[in-house]
Amino acid sequence: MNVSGLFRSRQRSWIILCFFLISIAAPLAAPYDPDAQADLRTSRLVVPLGSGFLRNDSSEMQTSGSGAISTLSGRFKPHNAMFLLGTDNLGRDVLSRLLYALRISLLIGMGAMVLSLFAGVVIGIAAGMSRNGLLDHLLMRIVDLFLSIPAIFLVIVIVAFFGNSVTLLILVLAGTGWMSVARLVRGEVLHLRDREFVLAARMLGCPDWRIILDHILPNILPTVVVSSALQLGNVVLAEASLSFLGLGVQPPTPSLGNMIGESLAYFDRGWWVGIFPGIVLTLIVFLTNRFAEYIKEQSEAGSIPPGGAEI
Amino acid sequence: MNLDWEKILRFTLRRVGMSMLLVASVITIVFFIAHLAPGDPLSSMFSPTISPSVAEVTRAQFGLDKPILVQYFVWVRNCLRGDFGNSISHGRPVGELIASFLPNTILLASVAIAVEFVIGIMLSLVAIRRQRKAAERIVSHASLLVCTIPTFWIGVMLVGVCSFVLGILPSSQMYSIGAEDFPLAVRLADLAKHIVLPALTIAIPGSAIITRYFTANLTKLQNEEYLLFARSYGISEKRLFCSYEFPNAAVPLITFFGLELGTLLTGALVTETIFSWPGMGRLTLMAIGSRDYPLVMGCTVVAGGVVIIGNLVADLLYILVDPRVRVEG
Repeated sequence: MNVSGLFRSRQRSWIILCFFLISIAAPLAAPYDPDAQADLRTSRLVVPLGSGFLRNDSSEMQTSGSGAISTLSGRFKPHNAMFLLGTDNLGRDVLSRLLYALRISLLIGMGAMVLSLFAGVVIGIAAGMSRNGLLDHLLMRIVDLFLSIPAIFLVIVIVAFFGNSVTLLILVLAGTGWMSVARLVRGEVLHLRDREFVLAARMLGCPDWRIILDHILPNILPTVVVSSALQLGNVVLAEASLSFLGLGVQPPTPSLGNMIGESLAYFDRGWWVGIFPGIVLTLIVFLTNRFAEYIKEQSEAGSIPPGGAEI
Repeated sequence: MNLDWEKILRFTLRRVGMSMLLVASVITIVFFIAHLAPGDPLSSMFSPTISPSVAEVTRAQFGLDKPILVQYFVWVRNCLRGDFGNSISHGRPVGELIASFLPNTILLASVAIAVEFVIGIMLSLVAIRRQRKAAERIVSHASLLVCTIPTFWIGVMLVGVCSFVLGILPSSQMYSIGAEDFPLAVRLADLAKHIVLPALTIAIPGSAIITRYFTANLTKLQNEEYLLFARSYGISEKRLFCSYEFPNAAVPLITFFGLELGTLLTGALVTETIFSWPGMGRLTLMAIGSRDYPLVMGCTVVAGGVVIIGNLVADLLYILVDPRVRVEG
């Protein structure tokens, strides 16, 4: 095993993990409320590392909101604030919004990835293990059908007609991603089905479900890990494109896509608003792709044992 | 030879049949999505104060009072005739609208394809000629990174830097205002200026993918015995490259082109939105914005059809170019 390659890959997986941790911890990590607006006269489009006056942060907003009468002086108590990545056109802190955007992007990405992976693995195993081949044939034709319809248009039509909630986005994006997983898994299963250890298990009278759980699933694990990484990248990208077009996550909820979309209107005055979400997005897709490629190389080289311990 | 043609014919027929089936299922799926969706296609036409009887009459006029299966068969019949009904927001036939917007997308996409193939092939030639040198490493690492950059972000950056900050290229539309009165040459120059940024937006990630793909093809070829043979035969490197290496590495690009068509349309959708390019993508998004059901349905069917037909053409081209496919059927 290539040691430096492993090291780099470990680093990669750490960075991905960090993204997840940061996004889970967004409420703790974010310096300000993502929707809180700074004083618009002084703190609109503050450059990165610049400072401005924050009108009220979330806690103050809540106390003044719950109080029966909020006095003007209480609401507008300005305090000096520093903005690491600047503020956007509405005086909102870009870093805080970015963290929350990462959170919603990864939430949708993980949700769609898990669903499409589950569907893909179940359908792939069903097709690969079918005795007479009829089910296999039928399922693979359905996969072909879904693969050759341009997914983005169907997604757009569905989102346009059914409205856009996070749940629907997860479902729709999962619906466009399961086919490649199913095809890969089926190939693996067909290959494994005739191996000696599976035949031996069958001769000993193992029922199908035992064979699938004990012998097939552990062996397709590397494939599943590779697909899941690729899926995550794809789904995050697709969600960002939809949100960019205004069909995904709706403002004021920040998402990587709609932050870039909003920044287009005032790019000449605030380049930083659109640049940072783009960098984060590219990093996510790049890292997941590289991670998938690394696992694939390793499992092809045979260094990941069947059973796929320690990936 | 006789057998050969029979195989080609069988393959062609099977692929054509498959494509027709796919188009039919796109038509079906679009219909049922639109009908399962909550809300009424006519709700955007009526004011809420309209009397129920008038609404009923209009509904009957549009055939919306008929059973869903009847509506489905009418929809299929009309689709096959190329009649997608009237757009609600534009008040013109959907077919006519698509016919005026689609050529713009095709223009943009073909320029983008040409650019991405030229850049991609040139970069991979650099990488393969300068193996184990800095140039190769730069190309391979950069292409790896660039092909993961989202198209729309590239678009935003390009339009931001080139139009808003530097102001050297126009940021939107196909022509400048009042360009209809310009002489043809000036009009074309104007168009060329407007197409640079959107075409680049689509072409940059695409060329990175082509670079990676084409470099991999060329590298794989290096171990082939026929190349070794030709080289030992004394054929000049130039001739070797032109008649053996390049064609063999380029043939798989045809399939790649077929697969890329979907990506290209998606890219066009996003790019047209950024640059207000009057193409299919913009038409679709405007239709969604105004809840124009017939237009959304028509656009989706046409886009699906274009991708499916593109894939079919790529597959058929492949048999023409690669003799091995012909033999194996």
